[in-house]
Amino acid sequence: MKVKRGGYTLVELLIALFISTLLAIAVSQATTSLYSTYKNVYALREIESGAISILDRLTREIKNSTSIDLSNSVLDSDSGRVSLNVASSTGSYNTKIYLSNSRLYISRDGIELGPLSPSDVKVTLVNYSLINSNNNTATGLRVELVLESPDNSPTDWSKTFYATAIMRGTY
Amino acid sequence: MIYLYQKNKGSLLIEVLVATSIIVTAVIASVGVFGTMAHLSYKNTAKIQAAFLADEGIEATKTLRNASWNTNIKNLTIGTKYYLYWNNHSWNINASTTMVDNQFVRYFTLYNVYRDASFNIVASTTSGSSIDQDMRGLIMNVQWSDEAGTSTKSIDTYLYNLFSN
Repeated sequence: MKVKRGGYTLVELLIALFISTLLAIAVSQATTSLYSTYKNVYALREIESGAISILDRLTREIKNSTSIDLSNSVLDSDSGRVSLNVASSTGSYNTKIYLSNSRLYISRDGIELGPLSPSDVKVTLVNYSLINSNNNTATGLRVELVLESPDNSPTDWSKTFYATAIMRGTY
Repeated sequence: MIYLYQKNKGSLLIEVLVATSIIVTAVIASVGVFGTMAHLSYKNTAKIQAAFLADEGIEATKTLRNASWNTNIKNLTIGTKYYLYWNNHSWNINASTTMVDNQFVRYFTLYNVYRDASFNIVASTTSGSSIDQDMRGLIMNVQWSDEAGTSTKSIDTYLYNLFSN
């Protein structure tokens, strides 16, 4: 009795191997693009949350302030810093917002309160401009902020944000 | 004890390949969905930038109001689009289209505010109401375009002649 023996011919195996290789390439490419997309989405999300946390705090501090301490501020510079005086019924204090290692920090009366921006965001530019006011009772600051992801990837994703705030204490 | 043995046929190579192809297609399709999601989230930044620009626009008009209500705000035509631009340490108003970073168009329009005899803000149709000349309604708009069309963010607020100037 002749037994039919199963098995594959070499040609069959080669074709199968070829198709499997194609599938493996497709999967690896999908994985690579998935990873780079994830990285981009993460970078942008950090830039967005960085912009919100920086500008929210910055405008709040400016609106809260009574005057600007010009001698300790660096205005109209791409790595600007600002020193704000606050006079309130409960006492006076000074708030400084400054750039250090591409992150923005805030201090109150010389004591550092911590960073304003997340660690995965690079502040590449922060420029403060004083608003000229012919009515000297009310002036304010205009802030330009440029954020990037730390490894600057993707390279064209530096995002610019603007904010203007009037120092309400000058009213 | 009696065991019943069924003939157990293994799957063919071709069957395994077909199954793998289907799974791979499904995986790649889901990666495509993730791509679409990512594409949508890329557009999110412009919304945040626009929101800050609109917010800045409100403060900018307030600096103009602070400088002089009569010169800067009162004379503006109701309903006309005005554009803001930053120059020489002050905010300025322009009647022609002005872009911010070649991406955003920021403009505002003013509307009249009506008050009744008790100085409450009322609709213009209310009988006995009159225009408050020391107040304007302000709508700040920021517009930008992408491949899906034009988007607008608007903030509606009031401007008051705070310093009677």
